Amino acid sequence: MNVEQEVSGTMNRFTKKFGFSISTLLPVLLLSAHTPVTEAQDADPSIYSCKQCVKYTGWRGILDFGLGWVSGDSLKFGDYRGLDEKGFYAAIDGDLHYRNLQGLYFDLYAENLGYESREFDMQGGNRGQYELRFGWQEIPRYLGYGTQTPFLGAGTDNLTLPDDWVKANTTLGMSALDSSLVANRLKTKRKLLDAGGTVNFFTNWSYRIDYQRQKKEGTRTLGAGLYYSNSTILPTPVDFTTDLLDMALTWQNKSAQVELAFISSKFKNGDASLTWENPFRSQPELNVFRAALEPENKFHEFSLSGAFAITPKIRLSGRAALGRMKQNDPFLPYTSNPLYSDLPLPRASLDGKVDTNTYNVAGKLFARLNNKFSFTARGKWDERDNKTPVDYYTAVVTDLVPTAARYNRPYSFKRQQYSADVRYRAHRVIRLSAGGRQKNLDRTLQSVERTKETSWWGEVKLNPIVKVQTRFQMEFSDRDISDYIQVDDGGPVNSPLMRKFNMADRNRDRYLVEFDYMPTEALGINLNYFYAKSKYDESPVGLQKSTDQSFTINVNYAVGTKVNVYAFVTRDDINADILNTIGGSSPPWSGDTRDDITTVGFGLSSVINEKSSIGFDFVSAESKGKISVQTTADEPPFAPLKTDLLNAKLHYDREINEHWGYKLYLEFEKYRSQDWAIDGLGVAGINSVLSMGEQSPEYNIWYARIQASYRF
Amino acid sequence: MLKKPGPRHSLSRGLVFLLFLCNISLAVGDEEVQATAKYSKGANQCMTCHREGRDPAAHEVFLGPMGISGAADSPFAEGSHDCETCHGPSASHRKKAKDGTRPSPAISFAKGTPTGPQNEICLGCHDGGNMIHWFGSVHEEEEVACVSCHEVHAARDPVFDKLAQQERCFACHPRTRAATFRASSHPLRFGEMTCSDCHNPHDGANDFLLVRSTVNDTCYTCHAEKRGPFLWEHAPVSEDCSLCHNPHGSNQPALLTQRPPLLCQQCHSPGGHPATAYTSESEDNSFRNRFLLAQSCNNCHSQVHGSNHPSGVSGTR
Repeated sequence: MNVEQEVSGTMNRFTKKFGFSISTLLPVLLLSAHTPVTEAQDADPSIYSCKQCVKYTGWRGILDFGLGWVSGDSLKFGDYRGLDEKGFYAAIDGDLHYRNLQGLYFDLYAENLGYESREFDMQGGNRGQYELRFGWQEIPRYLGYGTQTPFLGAGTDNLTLPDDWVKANTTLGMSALDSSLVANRLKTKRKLLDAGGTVNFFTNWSYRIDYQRQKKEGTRTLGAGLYYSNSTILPTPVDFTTDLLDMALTWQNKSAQVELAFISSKFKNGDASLTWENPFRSQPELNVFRAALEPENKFHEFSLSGAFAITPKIRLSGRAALGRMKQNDPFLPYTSNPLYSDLPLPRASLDGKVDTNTYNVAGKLFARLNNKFSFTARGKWDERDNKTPVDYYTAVVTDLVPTAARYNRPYSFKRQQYSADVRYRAHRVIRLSAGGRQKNLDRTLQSVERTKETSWWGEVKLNPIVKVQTRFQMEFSDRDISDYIQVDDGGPVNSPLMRKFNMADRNRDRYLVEFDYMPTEALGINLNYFYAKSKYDESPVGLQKSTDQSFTINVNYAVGTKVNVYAFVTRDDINADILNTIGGSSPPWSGDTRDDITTVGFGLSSVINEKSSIGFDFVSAESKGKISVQTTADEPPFAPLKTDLLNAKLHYDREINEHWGYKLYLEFEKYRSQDWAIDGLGVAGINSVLSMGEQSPEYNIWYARIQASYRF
Repeated sequence: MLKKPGPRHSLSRGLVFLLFLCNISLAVGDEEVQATAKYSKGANQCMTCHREGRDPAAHEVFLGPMGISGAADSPFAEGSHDCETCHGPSASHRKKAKDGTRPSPAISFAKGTPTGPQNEICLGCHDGGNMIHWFGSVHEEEEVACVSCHEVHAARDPVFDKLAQQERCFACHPRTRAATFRASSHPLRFGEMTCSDCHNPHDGANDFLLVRSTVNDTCYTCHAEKRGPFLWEHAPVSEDCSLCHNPHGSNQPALLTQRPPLLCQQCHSPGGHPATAYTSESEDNSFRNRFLLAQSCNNCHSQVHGSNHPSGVSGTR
């Protein structure tokens, strides 16, 4: 690090072009009539000379290098961290910076370079003129725990079975299954490359361009049915590439900003389909099946955004975006079944096309008429106009059973939202707010053509004393629908009693209570209570009620930047009740879900002295999911779904001298989970399903890291 | 020195809507501006007390982007008022008053001070790009100060660190912090993602301050394979990902709001297996358990986000 004590001479008068005096801020300041000062009694900045200002120029940086150690193997612990195997890892982090007095700069931040979750970002340029950016990130995912498969070629688009495989109607008869099983780790890795830049020109203009390539590779699962009798969980390849381009041209002056932007997304899939050998006997006998994987697609969107201070007290902003999604991957044949190989397709590819139009044309009308009253109005229209051609397709269900021809249903919808809010500071200690919102949604080809939801909300914010702030907020929503019809698209038709929850009559209440108390400048205590309840009283069958309740206590104690202590407790209760029916004279049955989650955390960070600091964090999250499905009989509830996470971290940083120091880090994580849907099943636990035998993870893992720090 | 606002209005008047309108004219008339504040003579004056070593936090401004005096847009650029570019004319802060107290700088950015004047200073320069829709946005209306999230006196504003940014957001959104520790969540707690990957905290144009026009467009940023359009669409998927997924975290796999088959049975009730009640006793029923256990409905209907297979009408291919 080159630290230069700047003893600069007399400075020149600052040009208006880049002025930052209060006078240039006036238009913005006047947006609120509460302007604290006008042009102040001015000293002459051209004669400023700062002898005591330290200017950091040249190169400086920190390199942290050492070893990380993980105490055990666990895919779950390694998920996202990239530390899935017991042993040692190279622990390399660092940052690098350059500055000069003319505004040139460069910053690089690197993390976990020796891990699967490595990442770095760099940017540089001339401050206020241009900037270039470049980044790299890898995100590992480990999806299954204890997974196995008899298939050969896992991770490719062609899965075969061993030569000695014995087909059977159920897994019970697959006599070669045990000897064929091979552990198969379901992993994906996402790699992100970012590059971009910004340039400012002609005083008021700037241009930004950002490109990102996302590459996701690995193996996941795909369930594939064999008509109504069997299914197989298949290791399925992931080879996704997404290219994102995001650029914008911006013009701005003192009272207006305008931005013209373009977004492009191109998704490519390296595997168009998955072919697998049938492990079951089937009728008719068929050896090879084939499923389509995600097709390649494109999306482009142009948008124009603007904000204008019509008067110093009224501001209008808006955004219009026009986009198009396209997909035209070649179709696979209807089936790999030679019995139906002559079925003609109506077209070779979908030629799918969806226009997405979003208008905030009215945008927000913001009027801060004085310091006590403000009014905001918003309008938003967004549309999904699906122009995909409609044709009749004769599906061969699960490669075995041809069905009557059905036409595809390209869904479209239009959303319109209008809202208005007023906020009024009635007194120094009280602010009242209220608003209303109307949300209409028009759909095509679905059970309900239009839903209309009206919401009203109100809020009281009180500051009875300087140290206390409270907020009471409530909102009531009422959604009405046009006629509900059961769609007959040639497939199975829902019960006439069913009301799909996203287009059913609904009443929703929402309450929020917040209490903030700061007995001292250093200590803050926050209480937060949230309750939301949605009721679907007009739905004979379907979702009946859902509630979401949360309570948090948060305490924070901070002494400057040297000591920070915090603690929090959050309790969440999330419930949903549904009714459904098998039709006829059978009464509806009920299904209730109760998720109770308690999260507790506390920690501290402290600067011990100029050379050392320490930190500690602890969190415990215990969740319990109770599910009860009741018919007329009195069935017991399912065993609880449990996930218990306990994580504790301790770190200590120490500078030995001007250049050298060290960092110690220790983490312990305990994880326990129970899931009746997978635990103990193995690959053949369900006679009709050949699964991959995923199990609930559990582990106790220690993770330690020791690094030397070299500062320059 | 700032002058306090004019006459206070009684609480009762605030409860009557008509008085909202009356108050407009009254309050506008209250506005007066003082022009008595004076600038001191640049940063050298400030550094007498806030110099390196004595007030390292203050001096860290020179490590960050604001402190590059050679940069044209720096508060320390030639001809600007250095520290007082942001802190306002604060010559009076240099001397103690007769009662021994020291007047605060014009804009101290301290907790409890009005956010409007603070933010106006920042917005004087930072009003373009993703700040276009700041005015009228929920954070602006909630009087969130720029410095509640941003730290100017730092080599690197912590809000640009993925984990530190979350702490800023969770201070006011505690439920979201708890959600990130649930059984299924996006990788926020590992620092692989952060809030601003999906939300633009300065924005007011999109629902939930999302970075893209809609919920789905935001999700497609990372999950482009689900965009389609597909030959066989699943209508709620095209409409809103959050109908089935809770993006902040869930007790169920894959961020689902409920566990299949109940998730699917909220909407599907044709006769036969989709509408059958799968109770705890179905776990041992060799016919029924295939609809309940392992991946439940997804054992067969795995293409729930849409299928482009000509025979994928029910999501099985």
